[in-house]
Amino acid sequence: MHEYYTLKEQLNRRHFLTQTSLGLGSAALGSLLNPLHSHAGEGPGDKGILRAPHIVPKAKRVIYLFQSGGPSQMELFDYKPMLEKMHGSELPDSVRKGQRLTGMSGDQSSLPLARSIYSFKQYGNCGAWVSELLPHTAEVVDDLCFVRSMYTEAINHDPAITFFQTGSQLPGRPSIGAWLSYGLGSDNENLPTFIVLVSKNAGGQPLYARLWGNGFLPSVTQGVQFRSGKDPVLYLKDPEGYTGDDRRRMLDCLSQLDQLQYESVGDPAINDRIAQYEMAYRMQTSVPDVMDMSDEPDSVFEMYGKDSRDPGTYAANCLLARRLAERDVKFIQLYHQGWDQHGNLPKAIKNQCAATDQATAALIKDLKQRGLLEDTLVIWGGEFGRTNYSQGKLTEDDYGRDHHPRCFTIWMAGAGVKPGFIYGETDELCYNIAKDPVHVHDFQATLLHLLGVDHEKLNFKYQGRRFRLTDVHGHVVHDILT
Amino acid sequence: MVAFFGRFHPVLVHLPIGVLFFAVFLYLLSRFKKYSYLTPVVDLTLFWGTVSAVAAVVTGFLLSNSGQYDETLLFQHKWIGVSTAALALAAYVVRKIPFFRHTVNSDFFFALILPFMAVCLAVTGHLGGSLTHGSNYLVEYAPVPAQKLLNPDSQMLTTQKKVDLGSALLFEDAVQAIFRQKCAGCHNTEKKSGGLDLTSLQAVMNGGESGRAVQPGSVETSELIRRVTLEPSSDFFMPPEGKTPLTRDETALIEWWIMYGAMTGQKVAQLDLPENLLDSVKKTLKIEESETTAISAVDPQLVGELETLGFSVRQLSQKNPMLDVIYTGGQGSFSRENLDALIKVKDQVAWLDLSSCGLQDDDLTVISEFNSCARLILSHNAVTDAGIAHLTPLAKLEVLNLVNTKATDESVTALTEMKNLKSLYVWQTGVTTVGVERLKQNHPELKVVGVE
Repeated sequence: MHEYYTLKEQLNRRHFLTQTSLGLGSAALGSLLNPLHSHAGEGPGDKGILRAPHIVPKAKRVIYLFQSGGPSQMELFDYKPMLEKMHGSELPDSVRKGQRLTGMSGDQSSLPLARSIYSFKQYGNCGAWVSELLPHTAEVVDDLCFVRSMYTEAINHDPAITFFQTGSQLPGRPSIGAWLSYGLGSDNENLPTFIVLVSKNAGGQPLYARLWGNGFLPSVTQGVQFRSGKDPVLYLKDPEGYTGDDRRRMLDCLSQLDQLQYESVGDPAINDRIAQYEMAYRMQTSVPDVMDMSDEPDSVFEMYGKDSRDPGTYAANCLLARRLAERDVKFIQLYHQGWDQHGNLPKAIKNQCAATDQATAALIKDLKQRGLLEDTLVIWGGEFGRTNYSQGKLTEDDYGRDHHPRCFTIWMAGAGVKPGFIYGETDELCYNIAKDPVHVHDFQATLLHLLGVDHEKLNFKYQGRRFRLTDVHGHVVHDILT
Repeated sequence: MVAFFGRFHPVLVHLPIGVLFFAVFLYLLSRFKKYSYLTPVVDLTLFWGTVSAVAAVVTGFLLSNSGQYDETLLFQHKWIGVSTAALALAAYVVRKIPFFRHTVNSDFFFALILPFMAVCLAVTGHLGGSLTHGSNYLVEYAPVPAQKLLNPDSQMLTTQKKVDLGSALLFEDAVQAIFRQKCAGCHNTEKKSGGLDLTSLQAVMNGGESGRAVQPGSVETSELIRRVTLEPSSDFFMPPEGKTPLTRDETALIEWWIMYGAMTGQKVAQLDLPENLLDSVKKTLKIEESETTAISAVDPQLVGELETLGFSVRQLSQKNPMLDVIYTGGQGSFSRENLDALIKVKDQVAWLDLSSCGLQDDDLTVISEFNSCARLILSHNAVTDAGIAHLTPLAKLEVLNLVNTKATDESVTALTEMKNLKSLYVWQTGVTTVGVERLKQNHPELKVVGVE
């Protein structure tokens, strides 16, 4: 605290003029302390630091359906008949090329290839292969853009999911939603720009608040997690006996006090605090309005599945995501855990799909029929893929798969991506990428590009150098864009 | 060795230019009594100027053997350069060597020789610049009247004509622009580095010392593409270090041109170029700039006004001042007052989202004035066919969202008139497959969503 007071002294005019070098130094320090000039989260007209995107955007909002745990691409989207043929035989060294294995399956005496127990068929005009586990997704393949050649370096969950969300395997950096909130601001002042929904009907690898955190960006840009349940935000309602008439006056006075403090101390977090109070005030009306599902026809609930009436489940979250998108929330991130099937894969993945397939497809259909898919980007994917060999004992109807960062599948749909398109190819055994690899940073660069942001130009100076979501990597994958 | 020393000519040549001009300047100054103390300095400067001029001439001779330069220009530059050095030497000799000082009127001759030397220096310096950068280097970006005056018949003038995407030609406008900007500095009719001239189709096809630069239809065997896509650190990478390399889009554009047969007369609009290349073409031809400067950014005060009324107003992008307007005030708070305020920016609104605003049919008459609107969202409003019919003047409309309105098949007639319409959303309306069929007859490319 003391340094701030001395700073204030040093900014005294006489000091500035007589000790110019020190004055300039403190001016520089001042700009370091408050690089934002309190632009973020100022409510109406919050256009972010960029004021407008670098290029005309294709997407104005993103719904990211994050499948935490690493869904197995061989059981879902990447059909490998060669695995059938070579089922049970050892993973060839020529394919593995000495790649490191995890501590979990690395000690196995053998690495037997495991074919998918589930059958595949081609669907839609694009002929995408989808397994029998995803009948609903199979219906909408002509709206999806599959990327089969994703790869990452991270082999375990925490670094991998941190990598996807922040661009670095080490924690501490802002998440995608925070970058977008910082760069582009908000289209709807009444709701947070970045909202996170975690399924209550799933468990597995842990998730951390830093995955939707703001890192070194102003704290108004962080993701707001709605609780999984009937009351996504607590204490919105006024308590018994309080009508709330004077709340506005209270907030105004509080804001004045905070402003005085800011003027004397100069800590930008004070402005963020003021902004959060204001947002909470507006959320008192906006959140109940979003959660009030009485205007949804029964057909919609049926389309999403019976879980959709149970707030907090994946299906209910998908429906809520659509409602938030209708209200122009810029970044809506869902997390559904439980895809980490090291063992007992066939049964476990079947349950996972049963819990998510219908709602995922319903979200696409729902956005499309409402015309929202025109400018909303939907992403489905996990943090890495799974191995083609079995972890643990390989039997006729049971096997497990370990983590595999070298190739996995994600799909995107909506604004700016080619519908009914398949990009990239893995090799016959689904171990390496054969064509058109897409790195996590490339994916992030492409995502930002779709929102009109040049990933190389949205940056923030911190600890002496400029940071950006893609760090010093990443190329936009133009081939999947319309 | 010859080539090695010859390459020092561009380095050394700047010395005589600077020093000899300075000598002239000092001489003129020294003629004034106040500066008469400068007289010995003139001698010193002239001496070193002469020495450096001779060194420049020697290296110049060595460089001229490399054979890449236009012969006429080279000849002129060479001999005027030699004259400059000779005159500088003569001026020095006349002034300093005792024999001359005492036999002729040294001051008179000195004053006679010096201006000739200065003129020769200026001329040969300019010719040297032309050799390296092309004779139009100075005038290329001069205002048009100046260009006409100075260089009436050169073919390398940047065409100031406004090209629009509809009439732009792939080679003549786009590819040649890239060659002009990034290659023709060294690959032009006067200076042909590597024997290659890139200022006309014939010249490009003729190739250079390394053979064919461009093989129509084949990117792999086109040397030009190989050179610009090498590792930038490679010795053979083009353009060489110091010059701006081609961007990925520019390279892709030239590749497309080669794949299409490396011809002239192909219209950009008729080819199936991907979007990013079209953007690149526009950038090369500076089309987007001229389009958007036609519409200036909207007054920020007006934006503030609209925002207090509950609109979210933002520019489409940093370079594009057209507006994306969403009404965020919530149901029930939208009124005619809001529309009347919005009308003030009607020419600049490209995307308009008025869903759930409680709009009525007569509100749509106001909306029909938003003639630049490309994307219109009217979902969840109780507007009927009568209101929708008002929207026909919106010639630029590409996306129309009528979800949960009272539209029926009757609107098809009005919708048919929207020639630019690409996507139509009619879920939860009275529009049926019959209406959609009729619509598709006139608009086979139209995407209609929401009717099973």
